[in-house]
Amino acid sequence: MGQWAIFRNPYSKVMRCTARAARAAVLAAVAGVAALAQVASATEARVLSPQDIEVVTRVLQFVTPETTNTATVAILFDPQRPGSQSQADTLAAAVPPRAPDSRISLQAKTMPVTALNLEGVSIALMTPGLTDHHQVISAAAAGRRVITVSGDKACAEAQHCVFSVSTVPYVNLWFSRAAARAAGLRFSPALLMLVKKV
Amino acid sequence: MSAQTKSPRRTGRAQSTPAQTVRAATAAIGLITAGVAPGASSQPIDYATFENLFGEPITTSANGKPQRASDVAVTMDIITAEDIRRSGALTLPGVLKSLAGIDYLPFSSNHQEIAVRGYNQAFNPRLMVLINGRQAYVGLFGFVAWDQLPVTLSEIRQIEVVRGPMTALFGFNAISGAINIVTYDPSYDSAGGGRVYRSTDGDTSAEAFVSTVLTDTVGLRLSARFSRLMPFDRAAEDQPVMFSQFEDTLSYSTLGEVTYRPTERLSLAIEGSYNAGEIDAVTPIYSATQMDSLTWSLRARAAYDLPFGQVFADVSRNANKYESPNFFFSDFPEDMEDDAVEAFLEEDLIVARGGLLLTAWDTATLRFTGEYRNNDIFQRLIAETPNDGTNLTLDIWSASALMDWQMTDTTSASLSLRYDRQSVDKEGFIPEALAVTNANFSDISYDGLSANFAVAYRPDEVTTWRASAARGLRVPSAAEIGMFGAEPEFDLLLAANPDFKVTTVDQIEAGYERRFPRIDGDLRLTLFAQHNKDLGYVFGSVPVTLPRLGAPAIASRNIGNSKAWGFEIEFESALNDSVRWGANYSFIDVTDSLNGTSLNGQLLYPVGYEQQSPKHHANAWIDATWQKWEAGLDLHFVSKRSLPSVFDLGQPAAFAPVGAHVIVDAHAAYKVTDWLALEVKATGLTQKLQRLAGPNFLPAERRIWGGLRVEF
Repeated sequence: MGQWAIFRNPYSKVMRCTARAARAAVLAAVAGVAALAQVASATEARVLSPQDIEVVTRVLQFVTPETTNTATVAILFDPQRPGSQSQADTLAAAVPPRAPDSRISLQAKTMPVTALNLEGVSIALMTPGLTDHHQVISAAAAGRRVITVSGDKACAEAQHCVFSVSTVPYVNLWFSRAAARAAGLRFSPALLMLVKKV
Repeated sequence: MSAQTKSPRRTGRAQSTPAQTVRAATAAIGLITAGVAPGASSQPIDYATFENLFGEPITTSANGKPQRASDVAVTMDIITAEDIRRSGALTLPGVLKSLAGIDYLPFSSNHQEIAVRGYNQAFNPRLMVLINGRQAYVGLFGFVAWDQLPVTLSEIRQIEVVRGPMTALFGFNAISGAINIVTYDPSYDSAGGGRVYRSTDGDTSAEAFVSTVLTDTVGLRLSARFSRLMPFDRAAEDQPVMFSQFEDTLSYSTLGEVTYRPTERLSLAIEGSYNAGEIDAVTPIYSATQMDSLTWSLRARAAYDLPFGQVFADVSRNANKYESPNFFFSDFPEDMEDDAVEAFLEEDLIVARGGLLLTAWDTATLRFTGEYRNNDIFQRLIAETPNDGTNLTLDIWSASALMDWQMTDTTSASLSLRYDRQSVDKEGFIPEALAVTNANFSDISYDGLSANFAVAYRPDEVTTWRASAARGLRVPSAAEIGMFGAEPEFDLLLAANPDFKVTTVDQIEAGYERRFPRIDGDLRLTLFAQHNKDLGYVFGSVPVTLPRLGAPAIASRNIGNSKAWGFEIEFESALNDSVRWGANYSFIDVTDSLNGTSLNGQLLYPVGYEQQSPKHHANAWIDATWQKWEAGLDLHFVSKRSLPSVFDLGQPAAFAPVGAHVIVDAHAAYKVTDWLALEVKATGLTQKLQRLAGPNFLPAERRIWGGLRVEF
């Protein structure tokens, strides 16, 4: 209160000038933050790397009850977004034939978000630019034991993805308990003690 | 000494009574049903899979739950199996000596002492060592017989070294640090291997292990070890007579473990080990002794995953027996087998733990632990003592609680508290000349609260700031409150002290860590200060008259206080996939306020931590692999110190200087196949003889080892 009282002092030109300058600075800062947020939103969308995919496929071992011998990895893309399908194709090619350190075989397939069908899918990887579809994807995964994964931490924070992942410079797995619960997934307690819950 | 004259296969006298077994079992059941929980270091976790997932080692030692090494709030080193292999070390102390803050003190070829942050001594009672969470130190004196541990280097998955008082997490011996040795787990790991070495001095060392997942539910681990170590050089000039009698020592060890996972949630394991050997040891009064040792252990574990955490129980029984013609004097008979009357120490320790880990919250973990220990000790420290010895029973109840709290995205905190209560029951011999009776000891109980509090702040992925405060407790060892003897020839009495008090260690610590992803590097800076109150020492070297004893005796005693501060600087990096290097420097400054160690210029107790703790330690190492070749070099610098010497019981101690020295170890290997390598190792490469423990102890020799290493 005291500081705002200074701004209202009609007798102090110096103070008025200071107040104007301060307001301008605050407005500039807000504008800057908004601009940064826009940029961040536009680039939200870190493409999952082969290392990210390897980490995610390792998580399959910690799903209870145990995943069956073959797991389907769906790579979701937006057909209306230029380049999205080719990104999905690239990711599909990066999915290894077998989950590391396990007997689980992996089958990759690309899937447009306009024709979502997550029945039988174990992992759904999201290509960049699907932020607007996160909620729909999350709803499609509900109860189907699908591990939804994004390279964007905000997806897990918004409880739309079970995991958000990054591996540079070090491995980070952000876990949404609410998204996992909605998807009907359970993980080993040891894994949940090692990931970051958001 | 030879294999024929000292058989390590004698049977131990330590036997637990049925009542003792029932008490332990009841305690374990009670702890579980009461919802009190054990240390989570008993939890079976799939280290390998998690390590591959997160790209770094996983530990449960820091706060009982699985954590990534980079998330740990305390100062911890994790030495992986690859680190052990690439270090070229032949022994556990050899592996540990290159770490910052570690003091390595080799008294003989099979008696080495390891201390964390100063205060090293013969029979160092300040360190807790665990194997897969089972306490493996010798409770009689609270020291670690490194050469007798039932574990092979080949089967170790990782060694977790925590610096600073850790009694709230690990138990009452961990006042300077704790070392948890984690082996391969046959529930998850299929691995095997072995090593056979022979040195130029005639030492032989062989070990083998296998860990195999037999079926989806059953796993099996077996290991065995044998060594015959030659004594340090006895031909050097100016040797004290007693140490020249050190001879070659044999050691055997076997271990078996079966794990069973009938469901995804339940895991069970039973384990047994047997170890027999001989030790050329330096006693706490710095006299020489030769001992036969026999150790066996049994352990059963169970863990069950709950929707909101985990419950588990762990019961172990550990028996140690040591025999010697004489624990304190140097007049060893030529043939120990022929010596009809021997001194002996026996302990039968049962530990039951149970616990509950609660993980229902996203940002907090709670752990409750309860532990019961029953230690039956039977001893006759002096062979000529005219009696059947002394019985002592120590019962300890402990309860602890831990909370780990992720306060914000960048800040986490951990608080652990532990309460210990030890009661004593004593029977048997007490010299008539003393004013104390068994009842004086049976009235004694010790209790106290230890605590650890740590905060970590991680503003980004590569930076960590840490701060911690800790209080550690050391309750008296069996020797300090229960050992009596009489030496008629020298007219000496040996006595425990009923006024012996608990030692407390308070420490504050701050640390900074920075990771350098581009060079796979890690920098760590640590600053600490600690205060030791009521330090205890197990025996003096000269009889003293303590208030309640009523007659002069070699007695245990609280000798005063001591404080220390220091810092550690560590850096290590991998230049590429094949070349790794590291260096560290540790400084410690110890200031003693000891008031019970000397009288009229005579050193009554062979201790002075200021003199005994070198101010500077520095290590540098590099190792490389190239095609089928491996090579490594390890430099270990220790600045000057002084160590006490006592040539016989009853004589005052004196300090003798130990000069600054550098130990240079090197090794090279050639991989003949994927599973077989030929190896050459050298310890003490640059000097033929090095007096690493001063002029009154045998000098360590340069030794060259050659052999085979098998891995599959």
